[in-house]
Amino acid sequence: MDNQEVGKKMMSIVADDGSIEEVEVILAFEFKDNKKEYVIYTKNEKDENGNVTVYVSNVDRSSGEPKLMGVEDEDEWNRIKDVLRELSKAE
Amino acid sequence: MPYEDALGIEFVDRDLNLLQVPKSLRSIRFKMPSFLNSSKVYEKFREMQIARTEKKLEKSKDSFKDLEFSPRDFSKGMGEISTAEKEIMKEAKNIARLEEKLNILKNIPVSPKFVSNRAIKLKDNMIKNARFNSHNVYSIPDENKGSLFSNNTEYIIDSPDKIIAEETNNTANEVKKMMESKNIRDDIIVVPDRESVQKTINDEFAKHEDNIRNISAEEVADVVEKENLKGEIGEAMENNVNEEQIKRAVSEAVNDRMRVSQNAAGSAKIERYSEPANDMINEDGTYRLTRDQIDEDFRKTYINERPEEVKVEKSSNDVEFELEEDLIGKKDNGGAKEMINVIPFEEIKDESSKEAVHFDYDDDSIQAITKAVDKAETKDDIQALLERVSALKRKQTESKMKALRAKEKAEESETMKEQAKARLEAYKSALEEDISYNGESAEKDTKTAENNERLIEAMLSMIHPEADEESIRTK
Repeated sequence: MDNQEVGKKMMSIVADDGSIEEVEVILAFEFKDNKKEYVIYTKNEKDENGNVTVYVSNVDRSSGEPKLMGVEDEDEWNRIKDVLRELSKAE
Repeated sequence: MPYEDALGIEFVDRDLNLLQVPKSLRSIRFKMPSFLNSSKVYEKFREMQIARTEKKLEKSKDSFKDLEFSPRDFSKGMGEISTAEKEIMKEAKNIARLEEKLNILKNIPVSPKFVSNRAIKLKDNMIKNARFNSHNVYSIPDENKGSLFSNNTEYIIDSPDKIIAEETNNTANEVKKMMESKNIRDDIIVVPDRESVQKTINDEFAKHEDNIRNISAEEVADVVEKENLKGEIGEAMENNVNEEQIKRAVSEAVNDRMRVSQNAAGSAKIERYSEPANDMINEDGTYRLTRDQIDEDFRKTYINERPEEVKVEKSSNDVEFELEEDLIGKKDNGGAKEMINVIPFEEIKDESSKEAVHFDYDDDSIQAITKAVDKAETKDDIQALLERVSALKRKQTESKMKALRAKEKAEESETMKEQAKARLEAYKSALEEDISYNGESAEKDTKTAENNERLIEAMLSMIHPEADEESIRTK
């Protein structure tokens, strides 16, 4: 199974309507300074130009159980975009 | 990884499964080469992590297999765990954690209790297989070492597809469980005792009796337009009851409220329960309410509450972000485009003002006050309530007076109309008779003269409709 291949991480997420969707994790990282964890995932949706949409969520583990949260802070969001920019240039 | 240091990040690969997607979710669009690059970075990280973890696991397993314990290490006091068991458990947990990590990295779902269950299993295997050897210590014979780590799939969940199917089937149960857990509250709800509430009511009645008559109609409108409930005070108002009756109604309603509150307080705290909401009435007729339910109820009916300002969160921040090199750094001149769907606050305000327009001083609105009495708990609540009740009564009386005056005026106008109509009829009839007799025989002259007199009368009455017959004749 492709999804089970080492190197490709899949995860199942629960949508608002309760439906469960399997998505591919592109990246998961945390900032060393504030220990905030993020997961970047995709449903492999492509637009007419072939661009792939990826979603960014903050992972909150403060209550023990992990929770996906939105990225509300603009500075935080800019930092994430910087990371993605750099990684997108990787060879 | 060079990226990690340069960007101040650490790649992680922790368990993330079946998590609820947040409402405000940011997204970015990658061009395919950028997407693949980012993806590859992480793939490399994961491969490296897997190799590293496998190496660590092998090392831990080797040291676990070679553990040795003297008979003394197995001795323990009452209720204590032996030194050997502690040591075995520590090593077993370490192995279980590494196995769990490896499974996660390999995308194999594991149960949340994988580590503890697996560690116990390893410890039991170790104790079962340990033998007293020629060196006077307990250890695992070579022939048994291979079986120590068997059955490590026991705590691994089936394939992801099966998991998703199972989870889908369980969604209804999960939702039910979540709904039930929302009702579980340990909070103690403090309610004022009956005496203090009664005292407050009496004090407030005395203090505000004079002020009651001075509430403006605008204030009443301001309060009532936010309410749309019914109750006993409204009925009392409808029947034009006196001030004493209103007080009594208020007092009774407050007492009823206190009875419910005291029952809640009597149980010292809100009971932990998980029954559905429609099963909340106790055998003795008291209610069990969670703080959420009370707050919600109170919010709906609390008379002084200002309309809530609704803050609308960003429902979606769909950021289109081209990560091709030629666009990087051009975000200030159109490289980045954000589309934020936020409902303007004005729209919400408009909705609420529409609600206000629908308000009328009907009996339902007046009765709304009574329901609010049920919820009145504090001195301020009672005071506000009394003021509202009095103002409402005054407003209603004014309205009734206005209506009465209008009715009288209408009746008066109707009478005048009828009189004028009758006179006009008389005029018409006299005129017709006059025409028919005009130019005929002289014997009819007498009748003509009478008709002429009637004609004059009718014409005069048209000019002076308010004058009576006598005054016309006199003229």
